[in-house]
Amino acid sequence: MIIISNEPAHADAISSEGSIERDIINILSLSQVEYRYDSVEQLKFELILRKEIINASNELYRSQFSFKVFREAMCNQDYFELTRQGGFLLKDKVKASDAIADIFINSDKYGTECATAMVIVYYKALLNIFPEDVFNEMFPSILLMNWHKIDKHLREIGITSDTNDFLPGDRRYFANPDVDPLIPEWQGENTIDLGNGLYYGHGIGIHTADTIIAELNKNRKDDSEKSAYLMDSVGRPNFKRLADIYYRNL
Amino acid sequence: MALKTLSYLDRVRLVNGSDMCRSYFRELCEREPKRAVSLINDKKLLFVSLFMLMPEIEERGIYEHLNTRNTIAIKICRKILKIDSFLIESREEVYGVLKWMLISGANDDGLSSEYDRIIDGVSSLLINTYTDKALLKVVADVIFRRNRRGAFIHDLVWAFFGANDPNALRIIAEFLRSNVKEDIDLAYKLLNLEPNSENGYRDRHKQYLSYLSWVKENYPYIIFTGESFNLTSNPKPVSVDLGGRL
Repeated sequence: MIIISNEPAHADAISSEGSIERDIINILSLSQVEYRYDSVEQLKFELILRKEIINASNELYRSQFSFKVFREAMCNQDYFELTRQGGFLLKDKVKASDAIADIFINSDKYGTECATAMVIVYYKALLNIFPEDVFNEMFPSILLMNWHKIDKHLREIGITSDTNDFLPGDRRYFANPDVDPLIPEWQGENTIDLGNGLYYGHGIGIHTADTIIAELNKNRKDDSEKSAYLMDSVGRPNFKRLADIYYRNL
Repeated sequence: MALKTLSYLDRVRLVNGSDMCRSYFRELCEREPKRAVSLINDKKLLFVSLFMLMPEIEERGIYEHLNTRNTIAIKICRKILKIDSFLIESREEVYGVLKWMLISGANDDGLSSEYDRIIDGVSSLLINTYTDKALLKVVADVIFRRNRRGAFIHDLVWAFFGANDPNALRIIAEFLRSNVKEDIDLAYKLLNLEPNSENGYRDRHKQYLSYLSWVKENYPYIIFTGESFNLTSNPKPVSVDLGGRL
């Protein structure tokens, strides 16, 4: 159920621009859980950001951005410094907006693992929404390396929690408990829920849950007894805090 | 390690440096190939010397004269580095070689990215395939040394907790008593503990003892969650099976 300013809101009364947004509203409305918003604008911001997370996932999927394990990670050193651990650190005097955009422009110069790709998706989604100067003020420094040292504005994407409802734009994780011990990069796949039963995972592509599980299962140890599976938890940014920043800077 | 207890090639490497050791070995392969083979097959040889001389071994065609330990070790290296695949023929032989690689090679972790990858792979095989829990302390020491120099630890931490052994928690907890800030911070992070907010690090000895008591009390009910840095910023390595405790 959706509650706006302490009043229940009907799904039909909330205008939405696209089918993804409509799907999200329907899931929220039909849920047993009360989803509370201070205003319609706050809800709309969440819908826009979820849509942009999906758009950024599709953009990254279509790019030349490659899969590399951390020890072989690579980045455009005009914008980022490659750390000893395989992370991308925003260089001094480089604007965060230019650097994030470059990952999609010169994508063939970049390669990393699936978790870092998810973080990049979130930054690009925000870049698609926020005015450039606000984005750069929010992110004077950036380190892109899985869920390690996440910026305070995106802190919650590094935390997963159980939920009743799975929404397009959520981060989902496919765990592979019996992975071959020599290929830790197959221990699990970080993905974005694209809606319509599809998930984007960096390196694996856009597929249904069954296909992703089948791919992970191909990389298990010989005597494996456990299948890979989709976890019942999600990672979500703090939509409300980001909405506050967005509307404050309009 | 006292020089006199080391193999001849290890002594050359330590006294004259890696480049000199390589050129010495190359010349020896030309001049006295039998002696070169005998030195590389020395029982006391450390894994790091074999690793460093792998290109020379291949170039000079002495691979077929290597003993079983060295042949298997090179096959394992090539498998971990994804150069070619290697089907494990004798588990016992491979296990012994893996132990030699880790125990004699751990101190040289940091030599190169490839070497560190091999240490990761060897540790993972020992812990997760051969379920050798006696080597957890060696692996923990590598993790903390790497962390001090800011190198990549996530895969090794994942392999370490794959042991599913509560003793792994005790080994990490020991680092709460370290005098090095990086060790203490990492121990807190790996155990998913928070420093006491009022007294900061001053209470860490008390926290160490309290954590050990918690492990002792819950030992049979501790479940490893499988959470890793690939999933979350703050992996919780264990939970307690409350149903089992009742």
